[in-house]
Amino acid sequence: MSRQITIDPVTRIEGHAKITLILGEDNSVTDAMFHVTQFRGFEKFCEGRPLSEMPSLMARTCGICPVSHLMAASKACDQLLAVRIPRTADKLRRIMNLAQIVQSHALSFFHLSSPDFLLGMDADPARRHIFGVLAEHPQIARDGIVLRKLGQQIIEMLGGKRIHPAWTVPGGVNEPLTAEKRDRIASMLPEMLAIAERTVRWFKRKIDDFDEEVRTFGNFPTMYLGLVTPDGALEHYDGFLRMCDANGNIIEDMVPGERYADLISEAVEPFSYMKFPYYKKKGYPQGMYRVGPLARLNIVDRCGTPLADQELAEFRSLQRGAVSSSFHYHYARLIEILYGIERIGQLLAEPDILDRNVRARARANATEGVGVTEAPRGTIMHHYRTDEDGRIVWGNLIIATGHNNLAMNKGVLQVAQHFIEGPKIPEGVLNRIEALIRCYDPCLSCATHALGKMPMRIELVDAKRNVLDVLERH
Amino acid sequence: MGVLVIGYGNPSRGDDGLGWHACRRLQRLLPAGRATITTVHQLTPELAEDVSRCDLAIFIDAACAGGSPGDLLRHDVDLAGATSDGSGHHCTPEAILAYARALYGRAPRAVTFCIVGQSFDFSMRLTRKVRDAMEDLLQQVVAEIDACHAGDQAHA
Repeated sequence: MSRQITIDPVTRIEGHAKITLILGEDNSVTDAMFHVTQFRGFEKFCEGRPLSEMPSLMARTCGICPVSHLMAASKACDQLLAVRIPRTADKLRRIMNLAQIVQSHALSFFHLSSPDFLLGMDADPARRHIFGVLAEHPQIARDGIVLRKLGQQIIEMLGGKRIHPAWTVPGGVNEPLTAEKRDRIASMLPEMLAIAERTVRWFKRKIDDFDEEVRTFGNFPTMYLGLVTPDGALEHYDGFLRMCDANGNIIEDMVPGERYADLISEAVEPFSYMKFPYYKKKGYPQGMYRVGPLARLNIVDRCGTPLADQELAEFRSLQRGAVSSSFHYHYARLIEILYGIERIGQLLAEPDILDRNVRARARANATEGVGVTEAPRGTIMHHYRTDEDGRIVWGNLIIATGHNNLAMNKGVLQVAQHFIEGPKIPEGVLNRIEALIRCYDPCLSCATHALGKMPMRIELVDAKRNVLDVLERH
Repeated sequence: MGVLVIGYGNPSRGDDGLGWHACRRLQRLLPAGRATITTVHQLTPELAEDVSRCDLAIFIDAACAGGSPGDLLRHDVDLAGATSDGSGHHCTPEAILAYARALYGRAPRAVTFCIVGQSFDFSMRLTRKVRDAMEDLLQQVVAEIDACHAGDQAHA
């Protein structure tokens, strides 16, 4: 008789989800489903609202990565105003976006995933969390806290507050940077860089301990999507869409963000509120692709900063073609932390960074706008249509975690098939399934544009979908 | 050093915004320099450094259990109660103190003040019961701060 296992809730991720594993007659895993069980529907909320409210409204999609929504919404609204924002405003937005990426990556790596690296996938779950790290590896725990805190302080200095800052507005930003703030931010960067460098060194030594996870954590060929600069370098704020295949060959390049719908479409499955985007030319579900740090490092020609470029060279040596194991999202995340800190330093040194012209003012001049940017977890797309008075009549959000939905589902199946033997599921296997999902650092609040946190549940069902066993964590 | 007051919660969810409302009132009530007052949506480990530097930490939050709406609850924070919620995003006052001690070598005395909330629906306002109880809470917080400073002077 077939059986089904449910993991509910999934822990140490953002939002609510559960996993169902279907076991065959011989107790081997035959199918897996990653269900996102929350729904909010932000696209509907925004209908009828004036475009000037959109950045602040959309930032409420998430308390973890509000800056990403601010950026995408502001960019879409720039198009609705039909303005080109001042160069200094562009640079200031980039600084805030990079600070968000640094602090979010620090949260993912140090707080959510480091307990697995430091204490082991099979460690007692009662101590396999940040307090366990604190007890046994206080320096690493301290580094994580300091890095996140400094990243948040940069956001706060620019935006006035660390959560939902209202500083980024249609047309630019609403306040220029002062010399005092520039100097304070610059003074934080050496400490941040030192933490990032020693963490990269430590983690590279640690990767060998996770050979089995590297081989089995979402390690399969897919395509990769992200933004690049016009000359192919790493880009998080603007630029063009690029897609490469599993061998690292570029299959789409220099596609303007407004034309995202030429590349991707979205499918719906009955078991999840999260949609399943796919590459149109390959169809569904063959058009599976990944976004986020792993994808970004797979598609770029270079990062564009010295330390990150050195690391990128090592990263590329992990595999010919694209680096395919989702376990390497962690390494890619650390390289992006390095890049983010270096790039903030470069931007602060620009001669016009204190320019007071930081906002272009206009009334609504267009009725359709698209903002595409890179959130910590991957490419984020905000697409709005308005009436002639600039009120939103339609919105579509495609969020980083959604892009990875197909790959997360396939990854769960791969991990389950590799580690589950027989009808009993050891706790360490449950954790590996969760750890696979944590590689993507999913933000399900964003992906469903929904409110909440994410506990985890695993269900075991038979072929007739009768629930036989449940593993639950809150 | 000195007193650190942390009000936390979601100011858009009715009584959950108690910490924010109380801190706004304290800003007006307290003479300058009497306490450092901060508001956050939720407690996170990054607060540990600031907490480690103070003599007294006061946490103000709404409660959803432990009494009837409007009841004022006060308790001393016990380090032994430190736990992780598994997500890494939200901490208890006990956890913040544990972080402070482990990472910065010092955990100050800490007190939590809560009022049991009546409504956590979408609203920027407190319910009547919580608003009324906040007056008692403010008095007790001010008394706590005064006692801390009096202790400092006695030791000086």
